[in-house]
Amino acid sequence: MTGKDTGSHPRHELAPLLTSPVRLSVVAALAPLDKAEFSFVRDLVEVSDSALSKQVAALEEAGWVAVEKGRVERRPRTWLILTAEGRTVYRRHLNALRAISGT
Amino acid sequence: MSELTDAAAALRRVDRVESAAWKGSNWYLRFLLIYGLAQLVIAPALVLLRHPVSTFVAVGVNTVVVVALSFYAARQRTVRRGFGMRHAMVIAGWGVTFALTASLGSTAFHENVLFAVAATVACVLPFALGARSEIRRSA
Repeated sequence: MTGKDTGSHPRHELAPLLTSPVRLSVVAALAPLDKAEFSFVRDLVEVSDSALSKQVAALEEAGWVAVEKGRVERRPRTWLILTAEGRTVYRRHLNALRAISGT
Repeated sequence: MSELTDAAAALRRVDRVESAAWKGSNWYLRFLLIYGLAQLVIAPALVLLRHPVSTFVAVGVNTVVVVALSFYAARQRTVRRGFGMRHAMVIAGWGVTFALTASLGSTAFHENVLFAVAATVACVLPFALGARSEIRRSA
């Protein structure tokens, strides 16, 4: 055993950052959308503001989620967007999960 | 728990979240239905009413509907993938039929009931097609 995490098993295609259920859910919530407001994702994933902020920061740092801030009727709004790179990684991650589960 | 069941559970969760995100973002269908219904007033008014009443009614109703729908759209928390292109196609299609209705309906076919019916159908059509597309994507 070499200890290196490379090989032909589909698990090697999994994105480590998406093995967290919350981060995977955040990306899944954004996948069918061009963008979604922070509160929409928070309600869908059922996490607190601070927990979502933390997960989004990790995804943003990886370049998979972009954050846009704006205002509507003087109300601040934060939009979350899944980047092209994020979509590619997400798709690959799902393919790996399907291969592992045999579906 | 095995790797296989972990993966299957993750996939089920992903499906559930994606589906909920999609269902929670169906506001554009309502937008299309309301704007489409407004055409049932706007197009006949342009053709059948006398000038300048026709212009006041058509432009007035259109302005009220556009302002109301703009507020409605601005308050939404989601934008579905491909929304910009789909909306641009609907509005471009409607723009052409509306321009033809306004120009022909106030000249050659003014007060022509058959033309009014055809023009109304043509003005509703882009919204109906857009709504059908939204429903199909949600199925």
